[in-house]
Amino acid sequence: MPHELRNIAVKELREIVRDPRLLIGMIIVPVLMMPLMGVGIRSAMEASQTEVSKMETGLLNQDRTVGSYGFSDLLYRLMVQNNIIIKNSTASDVNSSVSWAVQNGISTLVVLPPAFSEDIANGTTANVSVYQVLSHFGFDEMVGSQRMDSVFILFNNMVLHQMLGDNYTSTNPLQPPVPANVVPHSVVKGEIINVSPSNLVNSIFTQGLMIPIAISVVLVLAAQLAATSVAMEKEQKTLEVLLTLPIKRINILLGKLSGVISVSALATIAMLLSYGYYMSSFTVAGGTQLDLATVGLMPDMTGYALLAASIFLSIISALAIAVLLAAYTKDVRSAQSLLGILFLPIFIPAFLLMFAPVEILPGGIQAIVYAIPFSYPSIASKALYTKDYAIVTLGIVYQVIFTTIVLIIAARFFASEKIMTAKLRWGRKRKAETEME
Amino acid sequence: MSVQCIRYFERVSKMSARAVAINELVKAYSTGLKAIDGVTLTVNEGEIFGLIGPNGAGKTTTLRILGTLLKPTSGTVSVLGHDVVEEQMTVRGLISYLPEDAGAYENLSGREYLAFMAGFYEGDSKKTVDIGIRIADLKERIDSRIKEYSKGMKRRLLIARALMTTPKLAILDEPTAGLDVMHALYVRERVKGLIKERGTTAVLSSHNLLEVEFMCDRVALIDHGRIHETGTPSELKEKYGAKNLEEVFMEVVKHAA
Repeated sequence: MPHELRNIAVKELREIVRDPRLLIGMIIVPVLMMPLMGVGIRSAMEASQTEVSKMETGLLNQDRTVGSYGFSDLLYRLMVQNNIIIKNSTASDVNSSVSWAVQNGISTLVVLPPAFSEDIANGTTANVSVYQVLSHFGFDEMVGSQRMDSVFILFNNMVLHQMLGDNYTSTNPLQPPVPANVVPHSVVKGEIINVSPSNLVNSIFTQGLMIPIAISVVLVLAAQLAATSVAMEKEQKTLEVLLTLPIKRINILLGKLSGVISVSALATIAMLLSYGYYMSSFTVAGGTQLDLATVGLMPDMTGYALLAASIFLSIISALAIAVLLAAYTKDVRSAQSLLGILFLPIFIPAFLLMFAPVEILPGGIQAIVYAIPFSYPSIASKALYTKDYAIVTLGIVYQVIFTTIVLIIAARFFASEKIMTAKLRWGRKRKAETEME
Repeated sequence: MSVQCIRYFERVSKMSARAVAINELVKAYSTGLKAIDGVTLTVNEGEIFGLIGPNGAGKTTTLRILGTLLKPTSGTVSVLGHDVVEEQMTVRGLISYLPEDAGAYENLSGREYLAFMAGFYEGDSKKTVDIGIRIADLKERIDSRIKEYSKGMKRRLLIARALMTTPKLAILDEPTAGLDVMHALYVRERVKGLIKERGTTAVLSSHNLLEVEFMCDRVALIDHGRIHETGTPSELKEKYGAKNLEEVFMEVVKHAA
């Protein structure tokens, strides 16, 4: 490496390494973000597995020929062997059994038809309805019906083996008979939807996937705008002039926030409009995606209003925190880097909640997610489908309180001389730094 | 009229003649370091008062306290009888502060910047902007974006901003720092002329002692947060048998050390 080039490269390295604010954004935040997300997702998966082990499967056995051919007994034994906890439905018909399952927290209901054993014995496929109760449209909720799919694969193999062993002859040797066919159904808020739970959950995941990502991007851009605005004022000393003018400091803060909020509000509206268009693209017939409108799961205006309120409050919180962080820096570069701290609470809940609903997270992680105000837009985006608005409304109340507190802290900060003197200190040596001139 | 009444009016008239009164001012930071250590001085109305001293002497800290940006650790500071801590908003309405190396909003034009600043003061803002434009004297470049200005043009605009509202007290930190001879001369003469013409009081800091000698009615020599000398340039030169303020400064710093 030529001497000149090495000289400049070494200088650049020294400058970066000796400004820990830059290191926060470039090294510490990425180093923390991935492991924290990993811990969160692993905890979610563990929690999900624990939930699965506790899952109960309801059974409505309408088979008229119980005991005569023994196929329902075989199915029962296979379910037990696969560690499925079975509860026999106390109701007599399907609708009542579904209600019974919902009321008793039973995630999956298997309904054996009246001619179950008879059909199988006659070489006719018996259709078995499996009802999956969905509350938060998480992937964990599909496990119950997936386990039943596995059980039926085993069941069909065993039945076929038994039949072949009995010199069973099929009318079409190239297409062996299917003894039992699973007809999946979903149950949402007690209503039966004739769509497989996997199709429904995948559709909602795909169609809702963009919201947390888009919200996080809007939040980060808004925070960067606010931080840059304050840092630039500090760097160019225009803030110093502003603070000596006969205007209330709170108005300086609110004025700065208003400008960024206006831009962010436009970004939010643009995002919601584009999301609306994105959603409408799934309603085109012929696609593999499910049109959620046809199954009554399209978001309503209440859901959109709560989502918009949640995003708006998140933006204000993010802006106020960004302004406070930027006040501790002397220039734009440091402010941008220090802002990396804010990316952790913005991105981690968004990614976590994309894959694992907050309800199934372990208590500690759940508490952290609920404590982070930026989690609520993701929760609100999920509520567009679950229509579970209570937690979103409570979240908005929490966001209002959180935002108010952050704004009060920022206002006090602006009203004090700290806005001029505040700086992050690193180690004993730098503690001696003062503003003295 | 009773003797008490006469004394009261004498006191009030004496107080009102003081644009700035600093009494036993101390400013210490959380690190324990004292930037200002017992400064006492007064600036009379209509006076141009210069604070001179080496880097880190406490000049900017003093000006920032006067500008209500920092709060004193102890002691009192008042502007035209108004305490800078207790009556911050009143003081802000009386002063105009220009920091060293201050910038302006780069994407605004000079005219827009002056209009933005004039909007914070009562009165006819259009008239104020017109005054600002005359002071800046940037001709047609007043409508160019500030990011296209040279350093000298920016400083002229900022000086215009500081003086267009006819403040009672102008606080100017190194008003000509970094300017070429032509711009420095323009700023110096314009500031002195306007201040004298309008009866404004000014407190300024500078490293350029020739500039201080030219502009200031009185000066204070500050070092290590303490005032070591105060007086008119001619008084100080006479006291130290010096030809100019630079020699006075060197003598004072030598004795202080």
